[in-house]
Amino acid sequence: MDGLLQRLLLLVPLWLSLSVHEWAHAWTANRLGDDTARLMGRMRLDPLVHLDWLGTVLLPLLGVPFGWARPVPVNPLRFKGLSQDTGLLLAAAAGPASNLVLALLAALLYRLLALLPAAPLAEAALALLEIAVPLNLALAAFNLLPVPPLDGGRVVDGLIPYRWREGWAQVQRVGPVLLVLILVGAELGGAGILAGLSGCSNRLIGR
Amino acid sequence: MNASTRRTLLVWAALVVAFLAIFWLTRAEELPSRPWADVEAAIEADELEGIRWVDGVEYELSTRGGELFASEGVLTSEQMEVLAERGIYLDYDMGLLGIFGSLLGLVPLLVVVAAVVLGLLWYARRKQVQQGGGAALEMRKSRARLVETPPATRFADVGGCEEAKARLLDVVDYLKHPEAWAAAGARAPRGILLEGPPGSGKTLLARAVAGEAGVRFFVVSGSEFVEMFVGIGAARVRDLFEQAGKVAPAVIFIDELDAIGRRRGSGVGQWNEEREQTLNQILVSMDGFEPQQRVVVIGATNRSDILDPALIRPGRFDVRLRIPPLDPSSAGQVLRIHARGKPLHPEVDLDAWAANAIGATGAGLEQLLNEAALLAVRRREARGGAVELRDEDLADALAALRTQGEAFEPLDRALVDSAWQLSRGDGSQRARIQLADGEVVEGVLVWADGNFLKLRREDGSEVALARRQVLRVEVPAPAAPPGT
Repeated sequence: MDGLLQRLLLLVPLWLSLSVHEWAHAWTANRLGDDTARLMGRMRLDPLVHLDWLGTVLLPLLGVPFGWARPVPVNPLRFKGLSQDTGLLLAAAAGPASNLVLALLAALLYRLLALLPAAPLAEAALALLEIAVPLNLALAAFNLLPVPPLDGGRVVDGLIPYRWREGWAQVQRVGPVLLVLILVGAELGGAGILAGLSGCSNRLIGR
Repeated sequence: MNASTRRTLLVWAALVVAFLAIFWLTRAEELPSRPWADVEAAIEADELEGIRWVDGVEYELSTRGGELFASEGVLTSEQMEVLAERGIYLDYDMGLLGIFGSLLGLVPLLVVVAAVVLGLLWYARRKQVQQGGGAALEMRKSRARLVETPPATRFADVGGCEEAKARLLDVVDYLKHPEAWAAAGARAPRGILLEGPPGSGKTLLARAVAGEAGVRFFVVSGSEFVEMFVGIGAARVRDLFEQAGKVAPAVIFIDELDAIGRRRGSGVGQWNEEREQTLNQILVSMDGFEPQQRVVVIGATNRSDILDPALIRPGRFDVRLRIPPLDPSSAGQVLRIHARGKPLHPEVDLDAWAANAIGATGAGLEQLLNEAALLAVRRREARGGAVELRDEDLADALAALRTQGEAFEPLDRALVDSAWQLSRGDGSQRARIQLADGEVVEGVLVWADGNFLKLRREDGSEVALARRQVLRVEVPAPAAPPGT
């Protein structure tokens, strides 16, 4: 019971953060000239348009430490004034970057709220922010993993020197398998990463 | 504020309110905490009513006195036994979910296992597809042939086309000294379109440009971009230009440009997306080359009227060179070029032959001399071993080439006529047969069909001849020619 409720509580900041994440992809692409996502109605902060029933609702409720939102489509052919590689890189990096910004904002807000006299509502709001900070740090860190289906993999796409492309293509092919291995590995022995992140988040919110 | 913004705000507000509500409702009342020693004492004194495991070493306990408190510690197995004897079992509190909740706990593990299995399956499948799809990837490679070293062809090897040569000298100069062109701020020629009838020397000219400039030369035929699968042609174009860019400076020669450069949107009732894509890719690729890159594209066509206008606009194939039919003086030049290395009899006057070969193309003249040379080789025995091209060789070669286009050669007709005559049974058909090696045989035909002849000479000896040995058959007109 407690577990389920806790996950429900986690769901709220998760949806909000993922909305911002996906919106950041769409917004950046739009700024760079690719209005595909905007025209598809994906350049919105509305969680309902980014929601994936399996990846954003069911899995988090079941306590699976992994999930996804509906990816925002990016069409590199439409970028204006910069190369397709650079455009893809920027659009991909925007997602994790937005989570970092969000984490900082949430931490700032937390510190401001903590100055107020304790009240039940403020306490609940503090709890929300307290979840939001490590959650966004985790989202940013996880998505920046240089594994192909993740945003970090796309960033590598744009940065990798031409002569390493071939090898990188091999990595891309096994990307999903790598991802699963990383997830299992993190589940089995990755507590260190999470501890590091929560330590980081504790510093941000001033504990 | 429009509807979607309002909806977004509404959803956010609802989510935050839901969070606050859930948080508020589930806010656990803090149980008073007591040291673990109190728990042990309570067990000893049989005062415990219930015990609930919360998490790790945390327990919630209730006493017979109705007191609720929390504590942290480890239950020993002896204590568990004591509690069990009294009917007190550790309560795991699955809450509403009950036994189902414990199964739910297994779900994350199951999902991870399933993900691993699916991932591996997907990987194996992907690998299979890839192995099967190797050919499809290979298809995307351009089939252009890169002439490894710059070709040895020079403008001196090209007869006639003086105007085109003069214009192409600019291109050569640009390939050799781009800095001079850059200094003048002149836009370099990027694409040259050679127009002319088949065999008029378009390929030769392109090769000569690369040869004069000393740069790499790519040859590709427009039809090689035409493929069943949409996108393959365009992929090949990209591959070609990529390759050329790597070895720049280079000349790309696209023969039969009309195979892909056809006016877009034309074509009766058919919409050929593949060809249009290929054409678009050529246009984009030509635009994409930086002036410093020194890649010149030379296209050749004999149907410039059907080319897409976009292909001919400035910046693309903006230099159009018409290769005219040969006039007598340039035909003489061409003949001299091809006669190099061939032993000409001193009496042969190439200029006279050039005047004779009106309307011939460069390739035609080359073939003429080659044919004549072949005849000269075959006839060397009859000429006492001397290999040289004589006027008669050229004349016979010209006649052979002129008749090549006809389906039914005079020679065949003569043979058929002879066979017909023989079949009537009079058996006294005389014939004078000129052989390709210059020998002449005269006698009475005893056998003739489409492929073989047999003659009886005056002295009674017989000679059998194959069709390919025979150059000409002269027979008296048959009494009643067949209705041909």
